[in-house]
Amino acid sequence: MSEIKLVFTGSVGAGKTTAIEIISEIPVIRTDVRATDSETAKRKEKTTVAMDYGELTLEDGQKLRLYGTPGQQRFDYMWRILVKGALGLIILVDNAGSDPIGDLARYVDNFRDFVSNNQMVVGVTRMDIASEPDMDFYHQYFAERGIALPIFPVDARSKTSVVMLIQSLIAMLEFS
Amino acid sequence: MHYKISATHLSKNDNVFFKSMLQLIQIQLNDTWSYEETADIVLADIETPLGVAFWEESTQQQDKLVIAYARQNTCNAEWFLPKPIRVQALIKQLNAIATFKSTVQGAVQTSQTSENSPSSISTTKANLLGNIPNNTAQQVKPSDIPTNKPVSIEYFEPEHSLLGLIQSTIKKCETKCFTCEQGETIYISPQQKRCFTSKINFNHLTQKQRRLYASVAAQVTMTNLSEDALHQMAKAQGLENYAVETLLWLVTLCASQGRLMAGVAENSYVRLKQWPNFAVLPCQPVHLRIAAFMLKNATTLTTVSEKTRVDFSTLVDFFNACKVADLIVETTDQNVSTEAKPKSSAEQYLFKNILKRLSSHE
Amino acid sequence: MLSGEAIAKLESRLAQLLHDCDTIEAAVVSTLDGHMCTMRQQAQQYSLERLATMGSTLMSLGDTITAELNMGLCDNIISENQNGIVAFMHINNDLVLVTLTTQKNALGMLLSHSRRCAKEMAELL
Ligand SMILES: Nc1nc2c(ncn2[C@@H]2O[C@H](COP(=O)(O)OP(=O)(O)OP(=O)(O)O)[C@@H](O)[C@H]2O)c(=O)[nH]1
Ligand SMILES: [Mg+2]
Repeated sequence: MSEIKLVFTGSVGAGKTTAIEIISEIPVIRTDVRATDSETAKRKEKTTVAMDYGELTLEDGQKLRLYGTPGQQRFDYMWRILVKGALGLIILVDNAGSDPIGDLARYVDNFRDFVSNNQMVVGVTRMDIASEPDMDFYHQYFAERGIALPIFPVDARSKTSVVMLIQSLIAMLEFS
Repeated sequence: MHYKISATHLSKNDNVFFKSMLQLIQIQLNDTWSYEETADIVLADIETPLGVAFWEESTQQQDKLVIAYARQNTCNAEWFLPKPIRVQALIKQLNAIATFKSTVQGAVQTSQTSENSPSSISTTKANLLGNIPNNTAQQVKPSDIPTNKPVSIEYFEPEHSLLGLIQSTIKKCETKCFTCEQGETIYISPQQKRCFTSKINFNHLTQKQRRLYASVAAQVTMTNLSEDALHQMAKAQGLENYAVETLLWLVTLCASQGRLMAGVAENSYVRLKQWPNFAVLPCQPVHLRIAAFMLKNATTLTTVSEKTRVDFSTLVDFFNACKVADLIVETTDQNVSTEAKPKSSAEQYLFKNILKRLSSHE
Repeated sequence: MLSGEAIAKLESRLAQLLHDCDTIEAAVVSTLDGHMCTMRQQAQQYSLERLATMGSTLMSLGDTITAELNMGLCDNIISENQNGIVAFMHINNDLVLVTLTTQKNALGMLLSHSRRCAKEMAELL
């Protein structure tokens, strides 16, 4: 095992940068710039164009590296770069986005190759802002396709939520 | 045979709990057991210095049979009851002691034993043949006299526990208050899908909470109340409110005591329908392990326990809670896809390290 | 987003760049968040849409690196490759200019023309 890294990916504004910021013990290296297209800009001021980077130091001094990808599809070359060699993947889906189930489908499909030997978990964020679709739709999407992955509601601003995502991922890794 | 047992150096809560538990399990014990202030069989909490001293002295003098009570059997005690007290463990321990005592004192007691056995055998036979006279059958019909229905040692039966009462309250959409002697009080509003009670620390339930959650239906006092009254009460007492699912989950974890839910065949193939929403269903790290395995594999609980290296009774408690939350699918085929391949020790060490780092985060 | 008028100005300046220096095979102006504003190439040989987003990625990585090292603003990023050179530079806080050549020894020319172009574009806006 060379680098121990986890990658946060998922839809625009789902909270990837926020999640890494809430648990990283170093100031997060971020590449957020002002969003210029109205679609993104009306949701938030800034968007990631290269990556986010945070760290957690383990007891023995090893570093757990946390990378965040840009959310916009245009940057998919970064997804491939960042995901290389990752221990696992955390997908965040913005429930208040215009097509959350579609986002889920796109990200899960995109990282399907990755998941065959590694693992992923999905967190659905901003359910407090939009309660629809409710979790049943997500579960149904998975059930219909025979996808067995953890998926549950989270708040990217909450440490407990983000910790739970990583704990679930590690649990999955133990049996992968 | 009638045995007397006392307890020493137990915390007040444990002591009360032990006494009520002893009454509760009477029907499952092979003999009659009663609690006395002093007796030759003593349960001693060896996590207290005085308890250890008592245990050491009695073991040396061999005047009493002392059951060591602690989280770990650090003294290597011959008779040991793990903390916290669980129905099954207690029954097993007391029955074992009775067997031991009767072999030691066998000769003296033969006459009494033989007096008891014929009647019990005949009942069993009658049951098996299904030819109990009608009036007798009515008398023991559990739904009529729930107090007479034994707490099953083997199975967890929601209908005879607090869980069943809450479930039926929800079904009937009645606002109710539940409590039991020396136990917590909870208010349920099916309309709001919330329950109101004092703050719950999910990692550490209080004795009062445990006592209520694990109580059998007969011990529970229920009161109807209006939504308005509930609100006033909640406000006046500064109660917290939780999702009903959260409570059902906790109650099941607490009450099932390692007993599989009645109606589930132990050798059926089961898997998780979906990942439990641990945001509202309080979980321990061990539950995540089980969930991860059961999400990918359909197999028997015995296999799950082996592959996850989680002890069977913890697994069963979790399984029951999932069952109550409608998260379990029974399948006809076994499907163990993720061969829990032995991870390299480096990898295991890494995972453990990551989890450790995360837990210091909370 | 930029106005149509502003984009027209950028377009004509980009045309001038490729006219003044025919060693520059292609040039792109994109927003710092990776949207194409305008592009130009001598022969239609590259798909430049991707270059626009990648330009923004690299430029902001450059900014992140110089900020980390307290080196002020990142002027430009040069990628020297087996078969050519790509240069990335800020026009202003929101726009990035990406230029490229296949001539391996034309770095000086590429940089000087591109820098002048970037500077003038900033003034145009
Ligand atoms: N109300 C609410 N806000 C949330 C929740 N999770 C995240 N947020 C907010 O949503 C926004 C997410 O922004 P980012 O963290 O920049 O999102 P991102 O996924 O990095 O976005 P890109 O880099 O543009 O793909 C932040 O303002 C968070 O505070 C949630 O569960 N509820
Ligand atoms: Mg981001």
